[in-house]
Amino acid sequence: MSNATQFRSRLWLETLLQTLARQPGGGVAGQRAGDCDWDLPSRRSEAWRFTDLRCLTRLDPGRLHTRTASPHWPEAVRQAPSGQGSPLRLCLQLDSRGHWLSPQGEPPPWPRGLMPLANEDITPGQVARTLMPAGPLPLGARLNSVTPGPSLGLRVSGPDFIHLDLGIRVEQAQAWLAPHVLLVLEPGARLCLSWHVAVTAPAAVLPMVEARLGLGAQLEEAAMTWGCPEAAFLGGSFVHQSPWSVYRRTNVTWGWGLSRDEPFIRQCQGRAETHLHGLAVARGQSLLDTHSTVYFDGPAGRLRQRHQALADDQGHSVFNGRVVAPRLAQETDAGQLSRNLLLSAKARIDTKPQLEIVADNVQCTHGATVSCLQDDELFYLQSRGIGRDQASRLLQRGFCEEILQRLPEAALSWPPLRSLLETPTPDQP
Amino acid sequence: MSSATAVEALNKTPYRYGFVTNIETEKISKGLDESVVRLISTKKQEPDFMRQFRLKAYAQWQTMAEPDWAALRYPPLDYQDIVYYSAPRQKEQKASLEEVDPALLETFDKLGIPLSEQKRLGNVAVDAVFDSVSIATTYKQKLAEHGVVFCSMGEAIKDHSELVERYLGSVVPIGDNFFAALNSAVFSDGSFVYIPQGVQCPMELSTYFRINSDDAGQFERTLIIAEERASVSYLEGCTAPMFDTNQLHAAVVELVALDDASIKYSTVQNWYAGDENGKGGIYNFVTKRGLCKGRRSRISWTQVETGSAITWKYPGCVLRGRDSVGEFYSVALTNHHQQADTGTKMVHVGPGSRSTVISKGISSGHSANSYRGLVHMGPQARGARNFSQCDSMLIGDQAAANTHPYIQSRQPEATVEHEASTCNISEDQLFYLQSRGIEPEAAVSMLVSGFCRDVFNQLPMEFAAEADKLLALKLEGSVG
Amino acid sequence: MTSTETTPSREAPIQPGDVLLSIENLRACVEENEILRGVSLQIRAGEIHALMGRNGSGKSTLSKVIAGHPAYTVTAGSIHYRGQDLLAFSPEERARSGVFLGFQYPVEIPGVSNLEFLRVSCNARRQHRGQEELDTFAFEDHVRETMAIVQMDPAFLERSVNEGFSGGEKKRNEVLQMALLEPLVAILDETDSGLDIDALRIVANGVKRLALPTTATLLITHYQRLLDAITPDFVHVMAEGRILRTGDKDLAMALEERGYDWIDETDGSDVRQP
Repeated sequence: MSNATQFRSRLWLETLLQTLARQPGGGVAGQRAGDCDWDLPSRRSEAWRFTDLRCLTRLDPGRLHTRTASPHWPEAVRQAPSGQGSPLRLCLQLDSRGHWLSPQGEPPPWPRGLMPLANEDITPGQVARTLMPAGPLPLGARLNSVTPGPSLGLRVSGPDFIHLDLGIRVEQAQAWLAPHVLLVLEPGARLCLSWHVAVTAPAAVLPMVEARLGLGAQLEEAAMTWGCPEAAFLGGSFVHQSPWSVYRRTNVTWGWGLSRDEPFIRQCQGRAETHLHGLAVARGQSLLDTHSTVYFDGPAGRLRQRHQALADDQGHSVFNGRVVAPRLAQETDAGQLSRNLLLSAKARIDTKPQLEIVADNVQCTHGATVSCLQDDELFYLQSRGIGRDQASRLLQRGFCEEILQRLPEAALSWPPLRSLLETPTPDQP
Repeated sequence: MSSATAVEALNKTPYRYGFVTNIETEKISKGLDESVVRLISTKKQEPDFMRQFRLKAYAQWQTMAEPDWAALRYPPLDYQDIVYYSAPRQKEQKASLEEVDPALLETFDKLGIPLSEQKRLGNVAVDAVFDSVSIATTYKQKLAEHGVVFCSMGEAIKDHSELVERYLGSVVPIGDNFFAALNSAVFSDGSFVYIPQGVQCPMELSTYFRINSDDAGQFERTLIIAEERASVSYLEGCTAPMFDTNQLHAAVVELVALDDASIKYSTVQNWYAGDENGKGGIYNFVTKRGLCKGRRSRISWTQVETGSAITWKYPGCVLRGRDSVGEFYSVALTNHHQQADTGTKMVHVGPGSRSTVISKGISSGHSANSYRGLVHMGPQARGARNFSQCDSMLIGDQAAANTHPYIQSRQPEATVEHEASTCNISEDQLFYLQSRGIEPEAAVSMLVSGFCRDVFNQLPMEFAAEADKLLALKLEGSVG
Repeated sequence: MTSTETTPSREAPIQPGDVLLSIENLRACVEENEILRGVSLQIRAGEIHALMGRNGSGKSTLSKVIAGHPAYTVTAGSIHYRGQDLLAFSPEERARSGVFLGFQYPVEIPGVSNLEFLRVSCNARRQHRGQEELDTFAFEDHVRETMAIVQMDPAFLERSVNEGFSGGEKKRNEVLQMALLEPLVAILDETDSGLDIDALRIVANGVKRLALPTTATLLITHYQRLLDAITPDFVHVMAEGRILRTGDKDLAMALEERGYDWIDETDGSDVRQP
């Protein structure tokens, strides 16, 4: 990075921190801004080689606001009975003052088994720090923790499967939203958390999820995040898993100018199960980046990870999947697959599985493929009378389906998903 | 016996090549500055282009920093504490082998590389490099009859200067990386091979590197050029005495293959790796790259890495020619406190280029073994294909195996496939072999060599058996 | 027969009727679970024994303990082989001195050539017997001849040990190893399972040819059908880690007819030792 760029990035960060400090509840962040001793990552660092932050730094750090619009809810989510009966479902949307409210604008009707935590117990970074004791937090988490509110802390208990749907919609330029969610799942508790994020203006969304899973607890996180080419997404999930807990994360992302997703999972005493499934569809000039880490701190842990990316036009997908099995992690069973479709001569795929293993009795496999659509598959469809473009769309959709089918049923009717599945500009013969 | 306890006992055999040859050497004093670079050039009576090459490299090197991205830990190297030129004192021109110091011939005899006429290896021509200089090249005459040039780099700079000037630094540019720049400034000798158009080199060519001094760095430079339709198979071997200190070895190897040419480059590396506590051993920072310049050209790297305290090495291919082929077959075994960060770079430039990567890493003791490989599909590489397979085997629960494949594609009509797995020696396999009367140590080395079979099959026949033995030897003490 | 017979064995000669294997009140466990709860069994040269019983009765465990599998811990009792404490030997010493286990599930060993494996193994046994080791060529002749016994295609020599072999091919490979190692006590763990009629006949004939007056065989099986081909001198029925009943071939027939429940009902009151 040249000195001029470095200077600009420094200036941007300092102005940002000052703006954030002036926001309500920004006192703590303000103090940090004064002695800001860090900087935006440069592309000279290994983890940011391919990831350009310009989409973020094009926002004017002096004019940021937190105005949101009312989200589109999938029919199935809005109609679902809330509060009583099973499944228990709670649907919340982020308002412009940083409150999570029901679609009717009411304070949340907490169902049985969901208990809000006191504000002073929700400091951002508390789980992340236990997972990553050394070194800086990922950029998204760092920016999230210096942004005051909105925080949501919940204790989940009981045997019922609770559905929590969170919706964020942004239509006004210069929005800066950094929601923080802290989840404490008691032993045996079960929660399905779904994110519906839609941004149609130059803005930034930086959600941070921290979760502690008790013995045998189960957390399913589904994140559907859709942005416009001028919008930036920096997200992070930090999950602490106790033995016999299950964490399933399914992430679908598309449209953003820049998206950087950094899940960090630690199986603290092993014997837990982690499933990570991601789909990134990079069209236009989209840059979609996933850097995941799964750390096994004990024996007999299990990981199934599959990251699928499709890059078309000048889209760029980046994946780095780190799996660490130290000596304690005997009998770890970890499988990782990175599948990529590269559809245009100006698109790029960069993928890098990263295995670090010390335990000798482990089953670790990983695979990666990059290719375009298979000619024999296209030909098969064509030989059944389907035009090449349509055949190509069918195959692309089939590629996406492998991940989409893991989303909760109700999420599939989320209106913006249609923009993903119906690829624009089909060439008519 | 469980595999865990089996693994503990495997390791008391001393390094067989750890002796020092007592011979009078000519050394310059420690340290590096521009005058040292000039002095080396002068001592070697080099033409001006070579001197300029070195000075330019030295200037670049001074602006560069040691790379820190590899998964390696070692104390900072003091580049002023190294002797950059060391040569056994002997007559300037060696008209024949009889004039080579008998102590040197004896050294190579002890290493199993007989240089004297009557005992030469069957069908292998050898260039023997001792510390900084080449002391003898065998079968020169016979090769010359086919037009093949096989000589030391020093001789090539004098006798084939136009080829050297044209190709040296064309594959690994002067400023490619920190260690390549250092090598370009101070390299002292190495081997040069030129195979003319249409010639299949009639015998295996081999260079044997021997580090003897405890304070001299070895910076050799190898350049192999295969003209159109030419082919050659080349083997490199290395050993060093046992010292408590670490010696730096920073070599550069460049291969150039023109249309329809093929080069097969095999390495069986057995530098001294340090003792069981990690003291001493060679620091090996090597840049090896082949340029598949012509259409349908083919470059194949096969390496069996068992030595070095530190290995930093990524033999790669730049596949520029249309339909060119690059291959990388590697076995890297680490034991005790060895650290290896090794792999390959396959850079696909030309359409239809193909590459295959098979890497087998075995980590035992307290060692760390990292595979780092790059597969890059450039925008022009239409129809290019890569297949990579990298497997790790862990022996004991103190060793580390890391895998870092970097896959970058800019071409939709290129296909990349990567597979990787990690395994250990299963208790059931060990028991099965034991229940057929096979000792645990033999069973482990049988299993390891089975694991490496795909790579050993790529080695020239004479060396496959040697590699097998070497592996067994290196594993001794990791089972008990 | 072959060049292998040129040097005489240094192994002490055996007379028919000599006790080869003697198991006394053997108890063994795996990860805290006791599987064998006092097994006693004596096997003499020239005898063929069949060990039957339900899944989980301890048959395979007994065979693995005899062969020295590290996962099993012997907690009480003893095994003597030709008067020596077998439990003091490592698995490879047991194999070399003539105890052979044909595995129920032979492992696959990728990359290790079957031929090389067989040669090293065969030479280890030969060396123990004071016979000269066979070089690559002599061994290849020897193994090709031996393969005829199990009607195995020599192409299997070029493949990796058991890798990609069908169930039947794996079992034939086990019998081939038995033929090469010439054991004094051969234990065949479910060698008949997963075989079709033809393969069963081939394996059974192979085993019969190798059963000599100076060797002993212990067949572990579920079914009568192997015993139709090889007539056992003794049939033992195991349940819950003990030998509940011992008889002759008629016991196996009775079992086939009346099932294992019949044994449970008779509560092992008429246990008798051969």
